Amino acid sequence: MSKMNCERAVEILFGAATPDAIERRALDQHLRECSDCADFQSRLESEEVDLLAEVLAQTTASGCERAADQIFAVGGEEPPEILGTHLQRCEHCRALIRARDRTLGVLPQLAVLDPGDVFTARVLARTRVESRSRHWMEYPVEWAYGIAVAIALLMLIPNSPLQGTSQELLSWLRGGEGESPRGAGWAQATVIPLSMFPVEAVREGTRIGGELETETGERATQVSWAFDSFGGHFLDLGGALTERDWEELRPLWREMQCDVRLVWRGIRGQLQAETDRNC
Amino acid sequence: MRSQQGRVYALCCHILRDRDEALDLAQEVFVRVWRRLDALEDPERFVSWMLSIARNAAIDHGRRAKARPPAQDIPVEDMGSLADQSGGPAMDAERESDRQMVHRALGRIGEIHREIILLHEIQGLALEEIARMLGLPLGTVKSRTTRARHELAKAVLAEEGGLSA
Repeated sequence: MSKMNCERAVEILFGAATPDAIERRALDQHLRECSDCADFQSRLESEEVDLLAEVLAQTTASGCERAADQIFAVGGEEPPEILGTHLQRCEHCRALIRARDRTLGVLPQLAVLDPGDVFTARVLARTRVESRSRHWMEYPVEWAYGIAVAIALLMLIPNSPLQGTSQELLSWLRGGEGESPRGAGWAQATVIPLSMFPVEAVREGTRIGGELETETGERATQVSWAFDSFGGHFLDLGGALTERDWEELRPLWREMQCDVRLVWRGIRGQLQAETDRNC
Repeated sequence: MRSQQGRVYALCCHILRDRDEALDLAQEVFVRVWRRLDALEDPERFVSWMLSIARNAAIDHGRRAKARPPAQDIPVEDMGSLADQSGGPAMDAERESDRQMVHRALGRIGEIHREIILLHEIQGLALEEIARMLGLPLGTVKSRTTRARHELAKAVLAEEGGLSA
């Protein structure tokens, strides 16, 4: 004779199933061994039992678990009638319904939080830097070389409209007398960095700077952001940097120094070459 | 951008539960959104697309940050809420109290359930959108939502000092 489980025993006690002789003996055996089912049988016979509640309690999950499935179901804000009996006698589930109603009203209020005034400026600064990099990268370097070579050739070809322009331009940038259309004074006053360094040196520095600028990936973006952050801090544009900002900027600061050093090394090398030639 | 930054920041705040990290990550999310705008096929799905990027970024960030000591949970008032403030000071105080209590309760529930609450109940995404975002069957998302609501309600009761969660 196989053993009977509680679920089958409850079915038979409720009259939901009709046992044969073997199953009747198994039920008797089960009732002798299982105090819960024996107690249930005695209460059932004394008509003290709430049938619906007992069905919920005796099936696969506990009454509260089954009630929770109904209470928190999507679209189940109105509990079905079948829960009424359980809710009448279960303070825990009533409290859960109150908590549910209170919570669901509050949750949408947490959808939007203010990140502060600096947020937009920082994001725009980062995207602007990347936008410049992207713009440069849209034009292959070969094009730039091609255009430069074409201009250089035009400057050298006899009778070309640009012949001799390079000397005039160099002289103009250095503040040569009478060569600038706006006069030497203007050139000296406004193109100070260019007049301080020979054109070749500036060109070398610009080339290295350009290579750095066209670097792709996170590093270029982070370094650009770091420059913006430091600039905003020192110019008092973006508010004071927090201690956390400084911690994040520290490794980037080394990267920035490295970039500046590279540019400066190129300029200095060209300066030295210029000096050697003059000597 | 201004209209959406509060949503992204809020999502990052609720996932990371650290204001400074959420600010940094929300910036990163917007940069990523800007970079990938060309990949957005249906403009009407912009919000769910953007929140999906924010959610993935926050999860990645959380994984990387697991080695670090846990951040101190921020009080919701420190986050700066933009929710409706109408109704007078007494109503404001009650709402604020409720918001703080629910925010703390959110910190008590599991990550999987919190994610569902954030996306569905807080950000208002449809269950179909969430199923697509998480790569799960709709039925799974529905049952997960039911369990998440249940867990949150128990956490709220625990916060209130009522029945144990």
